[in-house]
Amino acid sequence: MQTSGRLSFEEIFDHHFQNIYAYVAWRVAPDEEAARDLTQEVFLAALNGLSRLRGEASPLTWLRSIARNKVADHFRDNARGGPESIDEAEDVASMVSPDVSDSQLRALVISRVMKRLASHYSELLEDKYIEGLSVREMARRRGLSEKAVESALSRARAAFREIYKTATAGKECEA
Amino acid sequence: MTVSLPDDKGIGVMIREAAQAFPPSRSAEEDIRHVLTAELERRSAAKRLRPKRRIAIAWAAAGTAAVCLIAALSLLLLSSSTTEPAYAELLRVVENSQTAEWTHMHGSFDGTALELWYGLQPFRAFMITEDYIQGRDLTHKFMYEPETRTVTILEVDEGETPDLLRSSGSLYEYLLAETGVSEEAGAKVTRSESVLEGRPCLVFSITGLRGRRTRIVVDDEAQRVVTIEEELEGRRAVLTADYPGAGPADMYEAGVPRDARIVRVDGPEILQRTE
Repeated sequence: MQTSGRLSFEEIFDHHFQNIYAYVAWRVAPDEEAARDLTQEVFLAALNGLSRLRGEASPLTWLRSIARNKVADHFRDNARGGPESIDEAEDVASMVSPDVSDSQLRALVISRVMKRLASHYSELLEDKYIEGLSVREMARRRGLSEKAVESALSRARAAFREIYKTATAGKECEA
Repeated sequence: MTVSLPDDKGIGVMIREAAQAFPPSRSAEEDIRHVLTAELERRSAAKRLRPKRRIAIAWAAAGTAAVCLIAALSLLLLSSSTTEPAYAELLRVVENSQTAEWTHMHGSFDGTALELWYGLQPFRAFMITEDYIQGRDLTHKFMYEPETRTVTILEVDEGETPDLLRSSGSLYEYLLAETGVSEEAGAKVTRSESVLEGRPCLVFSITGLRGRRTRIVVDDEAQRVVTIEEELEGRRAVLTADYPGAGPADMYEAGVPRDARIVRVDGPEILQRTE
């Protein structure tokens, strides 16, 4: 199956599966089953919408936007939403796998922080740090000025820091 | 765990690392790849085979029912052991029947309720059953499935429409070619007179055509076929024909809901003839 003479679906899967799975798994961690189901849903949705993949969007950006929506749907559908505090997250991670690494535990904390951020802040941070988009590109996609995006990014980082600080209060915090 | 408040750069590093902290296991990748591969194969098979196969099957059913009508023509052309006057008369009836703008048949085939519409100017045909509605013209064919409220539209493959239909527009010659009846010979036809619903009619009985037993009732005054009955290997088709001045203009008038999902559209004329 070709995408307008560009990449086939199989090629898109081969190139981006690892990245998309890791993103989804991080956002729904430590629920590995949900990570599998949602990643599968992402690629099935991509298969359905393959013809809508245009040249201006990279497949990874497109897939990530689908994944982001799937994760948001998942959280909405699961009213409990999983553990909200850092301590709960740490406990859950320990229960799920005794082999959980420090990096995964840190990732779990960051996941919870991102989840508690306003969605437009978390999306800005993801675009900036995961997608690696420039401020100009972020501004173009949102129909905003670069200055407005820079200000919003600044507020997003401040909010991130604040939640992170609150969530890890009692730990050995260093400024 | 030691935590520290990150600066701007640190936030970026934390998020990037976090987004890569849960790579897929080999089994997760294999499982998902397996599901997607199966889905791709299913879609490919559905696109490649399913509509054509189902349409072919359905058209075979329609052809079987309608073959009764062309039997007379084929017998006249091929058989040397028949009663000439009866064949000649039935041929005239058949020719006269197809001068109608539309032929409408309804009845059953092998216990399944069936409605058929044939229009010759230009050629188009619809078949309506409880399970599906389908139709075709010279360039496209469609299949509507009520269960999924989906219409699948395909271009008619090159060579699928016989040249003689393209050139002559003759439904009967077309069906003749499609069903392969032209290879048959040795059938017999007998003629008798009767009365149907108070109207004088002619009854043509045909036997010896691949084991088929066919009975064609003709309105003597109008000189058009009104009933066709056929039995073959325990399967039975009964169709009643009338000749209205108008038929379905497009698939929607044939009964396809206007909000049905269209899987593939190539701009077929049959879709919306009136628009």
